[in-house]
Amino acid sequence: MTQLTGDPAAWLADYGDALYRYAMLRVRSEPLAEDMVQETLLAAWQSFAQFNGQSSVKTWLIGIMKHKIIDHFRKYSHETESLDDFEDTDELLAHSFDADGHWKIKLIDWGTPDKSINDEQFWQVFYRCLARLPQNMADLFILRTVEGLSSEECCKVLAIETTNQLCVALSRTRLKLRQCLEIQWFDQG
Amino acid sequence: MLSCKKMTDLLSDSLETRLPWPKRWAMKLHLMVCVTCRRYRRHLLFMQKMLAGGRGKAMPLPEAARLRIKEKLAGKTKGWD
Ligand SMILES: [Zn+2]
Repeated sequence: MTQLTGDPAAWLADYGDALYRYAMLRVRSEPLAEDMVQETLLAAWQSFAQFNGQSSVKTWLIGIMKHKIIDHFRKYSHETESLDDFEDTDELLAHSFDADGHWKIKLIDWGTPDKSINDEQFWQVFYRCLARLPQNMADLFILRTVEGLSSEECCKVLAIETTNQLCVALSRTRLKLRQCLEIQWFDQG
Repeated sequence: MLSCKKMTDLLSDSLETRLPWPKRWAMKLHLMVCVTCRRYRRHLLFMQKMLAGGRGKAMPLPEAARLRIKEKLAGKTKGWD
């Protein structure tokens, strides 16, 4: 796409699904996700002059939506937002490993994904755990794992400086998500 | 030998990129003797499969919503370009 004026209709056709999916995973509401797609495309159209072509259009649009989602949570969430999203990750690390870095917790056998993948209740828990992650972590996990953005694109959108930091953040995110799923789902039987 | 904590990072990294062989070798050795890390690895693959292949992808923008957005955008961006 090299046109000088932005084309929201074309963006909607090409990236509507990706934007909607991302919004749905974060806000869990169809009407809200729809609004966000619309607002994102409108904002993109208005600020198209600032798009420098250094990232793909998809990455640029996702970056705009990321801010819309943050704004939404600022307005409507009563949870106080921690400045350091990775703050209580230290607690989880201390809970999980001893001083030598060996596991001090037992992990439950989860079985195979095939069973859970069709279980509506499991998905509800999965979404809840995803929603509980600090915003940066949720964004990172969704954009990298679901949308398949490259490491470089993720760094750009999330303002992470190096791919090494990205890898550490992803590892911590997985540790957290795993812990939540284990407690909320697998340890319930 | 690698610590389990370090293993969780390497296991996560190995989902992102192909690690150099010394790291892969060290992981292999650790996994041979550590049942908890073997389980952790299975949990990571589980989560990856759920999101990358499962429901994550199956959430397209509904056609009705797409049309509504299209109309609103057309209304708001009309005459500007
Ligand atoms: Zn281990």
